[in-house]
Amino acid sequence: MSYPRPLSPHLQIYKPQLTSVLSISHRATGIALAIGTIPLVYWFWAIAHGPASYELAFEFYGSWFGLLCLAGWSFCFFFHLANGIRHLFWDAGYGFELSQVYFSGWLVVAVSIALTGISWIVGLSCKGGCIYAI
Amino acid sequence: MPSNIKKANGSATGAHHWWVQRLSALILIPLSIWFVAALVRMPLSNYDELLYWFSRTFNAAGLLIMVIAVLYHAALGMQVVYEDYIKSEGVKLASIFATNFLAIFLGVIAVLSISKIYFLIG
Repeated sequence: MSYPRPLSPHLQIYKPQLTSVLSISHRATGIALAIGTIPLVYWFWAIAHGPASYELAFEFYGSWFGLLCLAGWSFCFFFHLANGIRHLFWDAGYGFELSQVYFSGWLVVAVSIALTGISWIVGLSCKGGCIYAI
Repeated sequence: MPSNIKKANGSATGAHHWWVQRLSALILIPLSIWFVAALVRMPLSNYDELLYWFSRTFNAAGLLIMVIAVLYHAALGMQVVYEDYIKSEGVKLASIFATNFLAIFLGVIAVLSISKIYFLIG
């Protein structure tokens, strides 16, 4: 009689923890931001190419799809930034206690949500521009 | 580095890769915060005022360093993802090559564009 061999926990029954979710999110947001370098460079190119090109880019970023992408990238940016700083502290040898790992993890979540919100509040209230040419 | 480690590692430059990834991260912390903080306050609907912001020497310099650091950091990061998830050595190397080529292409376009605005207006 053969018994099925014991298997290690598989994805379907794997209970996600904050630590593993943040780890994979660091990768996912990094990939999203890497793709985001293409529209970023397109924006530089459009500005350099003249007012007509810039108008097109401005329309794209101002469309609902463009704004949705920007909303996603802004959160990815702040998350990857905050969690990246957390990683640098680990690289330097700090923050390895389990309680510290969870504290810094929740801090990253809170900070990235807060900064995304703040940046959109500032961005939308500065629609006409808060940096003025003198 | 022992030769057997070199053989096991696709790029054979793991330690260097590790350091450059972190150095570019350190550079990007202040520069990316500066860029995003400027971006949300920029006169995005006014082309002439936007050009003026790009024509300031420190803004152009900051953008150039940031865009090179971000593309370098992104290419190194994508390489790690490919190395972890792509089994076929050929597909892996092709992906790394294509990503590096795209990063260099984007970098050249960005440097030319930022410089063009700077020399045209500044």
